[in-house]
Amino acid sequence: MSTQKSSLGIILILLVPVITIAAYLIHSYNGILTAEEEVLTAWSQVESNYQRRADLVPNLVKTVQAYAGHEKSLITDVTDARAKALQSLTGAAQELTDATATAGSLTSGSKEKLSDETHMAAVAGAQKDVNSRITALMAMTEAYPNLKASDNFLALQDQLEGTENRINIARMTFNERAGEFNASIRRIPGTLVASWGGFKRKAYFQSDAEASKAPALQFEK
Amino acid sequence: MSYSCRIIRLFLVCYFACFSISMAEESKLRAADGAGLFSAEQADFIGQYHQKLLEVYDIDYRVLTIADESDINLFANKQFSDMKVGSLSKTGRGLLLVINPKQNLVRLEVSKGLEPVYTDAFVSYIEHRQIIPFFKASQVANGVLATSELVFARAADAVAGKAFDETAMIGSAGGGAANKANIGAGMEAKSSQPLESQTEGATPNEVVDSYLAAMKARNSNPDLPIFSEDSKQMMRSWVVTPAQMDMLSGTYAKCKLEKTIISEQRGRAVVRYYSPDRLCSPFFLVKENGNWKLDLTMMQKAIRFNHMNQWHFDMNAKHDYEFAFVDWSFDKNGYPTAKKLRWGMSWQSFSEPTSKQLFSVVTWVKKDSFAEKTGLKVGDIILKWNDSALPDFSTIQKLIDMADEGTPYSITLQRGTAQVTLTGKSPPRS
Repeated sequence: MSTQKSSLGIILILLVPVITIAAYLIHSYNGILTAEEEVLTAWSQVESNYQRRADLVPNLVKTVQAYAGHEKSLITDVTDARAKALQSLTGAAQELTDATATAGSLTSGSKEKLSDETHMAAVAGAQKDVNSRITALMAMTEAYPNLKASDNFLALQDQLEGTENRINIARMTFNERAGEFNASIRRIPGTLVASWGGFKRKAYFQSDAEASKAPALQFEK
Repeated sequence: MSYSCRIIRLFLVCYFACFSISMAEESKLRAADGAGLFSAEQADFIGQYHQKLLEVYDIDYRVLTIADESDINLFANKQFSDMKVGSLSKTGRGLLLVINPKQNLVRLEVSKGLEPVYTDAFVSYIEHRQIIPFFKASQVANGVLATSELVFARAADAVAGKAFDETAMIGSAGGGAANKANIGAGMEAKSSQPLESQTEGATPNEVVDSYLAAMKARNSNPDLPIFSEDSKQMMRSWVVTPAQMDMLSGTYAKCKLEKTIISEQRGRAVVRYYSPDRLCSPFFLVKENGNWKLDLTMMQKAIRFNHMNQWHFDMNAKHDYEFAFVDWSFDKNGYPTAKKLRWGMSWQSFSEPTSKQLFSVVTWVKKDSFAEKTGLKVGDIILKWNDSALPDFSTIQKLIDMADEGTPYSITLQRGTAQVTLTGKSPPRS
């Protein structure tokens, strides 16, 4: 009787740390899982804001092209410098459309590739290209006060600025969440759980020097 | 009536209405003035005004000024979550106005739940067309409050159009807009556009119509021929923003003209509106050099607006236009209410073109009133009332007021080509 009791005691004594460690690991696993979920949610915010911008681009392009078409009809001499300027304006609008399409297809489906540094850098690069093209197009419109003063154009400009700000905020939130997740899988026991659970480090969403300073899409009005 | 005067009035109106504020909420809503742009009273007042916004529309609106080098967009978003803007609202509705004089920027950050109501384009519009014109004139607190008025007005429209999202959403996702603040850049030049219509010899209604048309065209010219000399003087130093002019013309477009009361004798006229919500305050007109002119100076003194943009009189302000409101009574705060009328009629005085002789005409007879039972009809010219021949507006008023119940009266009227005499005994005082 007494040996049976003592062996039960030994088993219990051995079992307690095992259960504790298992609980600790499960807790750690769940923690990493939650952190990853937050990274994914943050990413969908980034994506939906890029989509929001992509939805505005056709409006912008249409407004610019309609204006250019109207102006062009007033110019008889096609070799005129003014006609050439209008041509480069419509050209820039077309390029913006193409860049938006490229960035869009590259961005969609990124949810599964958040750990792929090369892919994420490509997405960031493509989206930054869209941003620069919008800025460039806006700079070109400076030469057309009638276009710039139209209510339609002003509203578009405000919406684009607002969207750009939302993109920055969403991207920063995403990087914060990715940072938290990455830290969680670097710590012990997270690092063990992560390799066992197949968790991979998430790439930060930034391209070249823009990481520290968000590009401001702010136009003079 | 330029809209900027509403701001000045609001200071007084709300001051008495906002006493029941819990201290904790008040301190959160009080403008946090790190950049030192407001006086203590102004910061308090902004808090009190925004308390009303919280009570009426469940919007937690904070104001923060700071003079530093951080990116205003990111700063506003971070402060939004650090200050827990929206936490005073049951549905998480929050607004945060950040003013950074050092960087010359202003940003209104909008919570997720309010994005459908205060869209980026709308926020940018109120910044450009309302707040910045005030900032340019170095009137920062007035600019903030004038913007709050538009926030109030937009909320009212949103309630009517059910644009509010009723689900609770916490925090901001970066909605809103930032713009150059231009504090102290100098008051925006007033327009020098002339009026489109000719106003020489115009009736009071035509003068008011010209004014509303000018507001619709955003014509801020203080020297329009429809303003009295005093009004011109006052308008020159006023900040008149495009957003105020938009709102004014938009508001009056919704109101129906009630009637115009002209007193040739006094050289005064009042244009009144039907407006169940009391959104359209009456216009005061004064005759100067034979032409009717808007007396904005007196309107500014006498008419006030509450936080819902409803007008009422300042009962302490004496003005020369009281004659036009004898058929209304006013509660102690100056809000108009339908009067229980003794006779139930109204009349106007006109002057005969050649002899300049004044005469009074019955312009309205209330249904089932004493006046109707006596036999008075709209269009009757009052030739004689007791012993007074051709009594003018205020004489009739006195004859009605002074007569005790049961005192006999005799009124002789010109009705078409016939003369009619009505006799009877005065009704009880109501």
